[in-house]
Amino acid sequence: MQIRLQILFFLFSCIALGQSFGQDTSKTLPVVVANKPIRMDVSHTDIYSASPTFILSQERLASLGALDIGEALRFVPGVQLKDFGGVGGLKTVSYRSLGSSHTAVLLDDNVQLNNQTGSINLSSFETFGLNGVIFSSGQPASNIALPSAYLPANSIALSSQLVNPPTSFSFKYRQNMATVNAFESAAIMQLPIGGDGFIGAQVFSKYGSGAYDYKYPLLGDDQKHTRMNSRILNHKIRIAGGTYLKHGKIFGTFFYNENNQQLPGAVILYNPSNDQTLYNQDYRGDVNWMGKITKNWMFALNGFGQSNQTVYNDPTFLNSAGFLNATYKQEAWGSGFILNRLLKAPKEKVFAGFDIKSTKLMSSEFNSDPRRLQTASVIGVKKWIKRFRIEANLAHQYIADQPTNQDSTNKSYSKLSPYLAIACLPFKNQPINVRAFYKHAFRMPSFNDLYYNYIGNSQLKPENAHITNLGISYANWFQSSDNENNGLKIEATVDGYYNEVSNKIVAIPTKDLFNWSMQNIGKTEAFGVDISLMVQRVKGKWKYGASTQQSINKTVDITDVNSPSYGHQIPYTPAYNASYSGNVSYKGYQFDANLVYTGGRYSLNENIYSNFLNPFIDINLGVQKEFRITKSWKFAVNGKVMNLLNNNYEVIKSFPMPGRYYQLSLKITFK
Amino acid sequence: MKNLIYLLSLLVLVGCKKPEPEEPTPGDFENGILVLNEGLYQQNNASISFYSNETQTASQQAFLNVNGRGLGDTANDLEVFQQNGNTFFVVAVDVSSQLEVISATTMVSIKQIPLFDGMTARQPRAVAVTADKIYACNFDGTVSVINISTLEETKTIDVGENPDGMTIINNKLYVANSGGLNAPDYDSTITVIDTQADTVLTTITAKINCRSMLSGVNNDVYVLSSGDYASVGPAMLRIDAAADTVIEEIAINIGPWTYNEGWIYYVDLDLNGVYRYNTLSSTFENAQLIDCSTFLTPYAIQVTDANIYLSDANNYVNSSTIRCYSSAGGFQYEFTAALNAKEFVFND
Repeated sequence: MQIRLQILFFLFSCIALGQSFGQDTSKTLPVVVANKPIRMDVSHTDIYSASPTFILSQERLASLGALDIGEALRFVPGVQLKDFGGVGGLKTVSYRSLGSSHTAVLLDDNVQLNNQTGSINLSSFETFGLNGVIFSSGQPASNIALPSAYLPANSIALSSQLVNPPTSFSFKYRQNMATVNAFESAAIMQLPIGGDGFIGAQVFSKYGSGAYDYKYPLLGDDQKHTRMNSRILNHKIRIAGGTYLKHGKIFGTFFYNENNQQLPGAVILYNPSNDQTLYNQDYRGDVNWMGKITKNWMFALNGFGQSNQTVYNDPTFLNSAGFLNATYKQEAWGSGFILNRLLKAPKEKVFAGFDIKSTKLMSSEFNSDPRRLQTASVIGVKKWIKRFRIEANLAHQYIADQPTNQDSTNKSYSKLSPYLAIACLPFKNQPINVRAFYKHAFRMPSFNDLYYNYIGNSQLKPENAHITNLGISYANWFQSSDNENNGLKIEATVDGYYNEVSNKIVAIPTKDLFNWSMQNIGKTEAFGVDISLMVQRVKGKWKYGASTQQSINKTVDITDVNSPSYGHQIPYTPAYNASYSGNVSYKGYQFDANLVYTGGRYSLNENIYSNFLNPFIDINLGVQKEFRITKSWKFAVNGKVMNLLNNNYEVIKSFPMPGRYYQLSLKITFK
Repeated sequence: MKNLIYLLSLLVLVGCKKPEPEEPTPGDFENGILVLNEGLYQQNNASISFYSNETQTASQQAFLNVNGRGLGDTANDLEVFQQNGNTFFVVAVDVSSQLEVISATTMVSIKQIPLFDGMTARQPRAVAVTADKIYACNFDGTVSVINISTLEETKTIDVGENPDGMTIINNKLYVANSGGLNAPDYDSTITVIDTQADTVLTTITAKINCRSMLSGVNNDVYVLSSGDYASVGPAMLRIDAAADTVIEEIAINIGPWTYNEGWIYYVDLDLNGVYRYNTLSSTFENAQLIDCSTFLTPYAIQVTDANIYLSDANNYVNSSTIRCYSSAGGFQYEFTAALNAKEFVFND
């Protein structure tokens, strides 16, 4: 377990550094860091990081009852999930009031790209087959991510089992059934080949009518209504293969996704008609090569190609054709490298890299096919100086869009994003870390923002964010005297932040209500505090613990002093959010309880009664039993009650979420 | 450990103390102004505000508070009518695809009339009334006819693409077909319907993207074309309702407009002010009546014998400001309505 999680954190270092970890580091590292082993299986945060970094291990993902990454990220302090409900519905996150485009999604260290919308749908990343997720602010937690991962304010790094070489043949199958008419079948198989090679495949299907019951008091009744038009049929396959080399590792992955779904859309009072459908077909292939040039020089290379096709169909659109069929096809390729020069101690290094990407979009909704060439470069350092840890990087991005019919001039953006973090371990023997960082990040306008017919605005400037954080973290493992595996783990982080966003890209009606357009009009200011606490006790076969995340966020609109919403909390931003988790496991039994509290918030700019969305509590309880059938075969059954209190709530106005429902999951593992 | 628990409890308390806005109290709806707020698409927040002349205060959510349910999504238009000595108004709730017939004095919903073609929403955009009928033009290219006594739908008439405005004169219903959802291939016709037989009399070719309509006393019908927001500019057309032909096209950028006592009062969006047009002499009055340069989004105008009322929709996403002026254009008072205040009903 410990090894697997170390791989998660120090993937590259572990593989390529090999023995260099063995060197004596006690002279270069503060005592607490050099001596304290970190029990990763009972960690929620990376305590020594210079910026907020949160870990969702495989075990944690399972105990949270989250089927996709979006749901799981609700348990990261500062993250606000935007969930449109429905199986396969859109899920994105904002972090500390920075919209989804400010957060990169990395799958096995490779940045996921969507230049059409600018953000990645998190509901398309299932928790099945993941080793873990690291959410980090400031700079990515990965050592081998390419420079484009250093551009956004935050990153979500997903680490899949598939690219971690197995020691022997392994197989896992999971069937999940939810009483919201949603089903998931998933399997993963991995096989070592020869001495150094490996191959694996993961298949995943999501299907069902997705119909669920909800109540909607605005209809003036207390009846249950059924969310219709939410059928989904989604198949995915991901194949990976690779080999260890003398001084490194090379592997490739190929991903195919086909998704055929109805779109439940907003619940409109008194109008049940809803007939829209969505079709997606996605391909992506990646090759990653990482290795050691000399003892201290390491490199990582990536090349990828992808194609994303989307077809939106509205069979009752009131034009003369009688339907709307909007098609989008995005093609992209890219390549890049990162070079690390390791310094004396682990996690100490100087690094630099460059990557380039090219994207083309063909769409029925665009006057022309926009093309984009973008590059990212970074240079950075991570260094201990006595008790201080300095982390700094300077990332540069350049974007050149080819002329479109609407805009005959070449459009280009060139932006520098500096990041500076200083952490300090003020006490010799206390694992207390004080940290501060500053980052200047940009959200580049997407193709939709710039060129979408009628809505797009080719004059847009990048959204501009200044981000600062000041925090303190503490983690300690109190080992039992009787047994080194027993003990108590305590973690605590408190981070305060101040963000300022200007040139915020928002859609507003311009000429009249029929003519919405993207504009750089917003300016916001965010103050907040994020807190996380965790205690975990390991005693023989018993393991139990509790944790909480708390977020206080005041983000106000300071765009226009004459506007009625000046000084008001921005939409979909609760002033207070919290989550609580408890878990007990004993001899293959596991019991989990999770609670998410989302505070009151507003659906529009003005903080008035008619825009207010009620706070809600979402509780889930889970129980799991694992049976060992033979030495190699294991079987696990897991039952969950979701939304235990049967609360009616909306995350997004007009998108009601399901009441109480149940989830049953069966898992067979061979190893 | 104990400290952790303290800290946790403290945070829970912080969470519970979060103040929530208060629900407004319903008022009574006599001697004041009802304001229909269109709301925003997919927000289910069409609403009715009430300004009391007595207390000189505005209250929101009159319909919701009285009827215990929302008015619906995107309420575009209303018309007032009398039945058995009582005053009612009918609201076209576009995205909800309903007509809502409401008592003007009690705010009680008399009837909700769904307008669907099978499962497809027709989407009513505007309403017009005669002594015995309610007409709704629907974005699916139809006009629904409703018997005003039974409030039952009696007929559906096919018109042009995406009709968006109507007016009635001399037993004829004029319907402006915008074709807005076929942009850039807009419709450019006006359908003329005989309100006795409820059949199409003729179709006039006017100008692309015609939307709002008014009729004066001179046997003239006026319609606004929004143009194509690019090369074709906005205009006002004058139609001779006897011959059913376009007799004049004036290039002018008119936003909200209304008719009263021989005059069309309109907001000139280029000149940022309220001006008048004399329908008797077919001439524009040069003098500006009200300066609207401080308005963010002039959105509605209505004129009574004594006053001129203007709605500023404040960029469409914030509460509207209603400003009352004297008939000479002098500012009287203002109050706040809800999102996209579009129509007024004056209860004496």
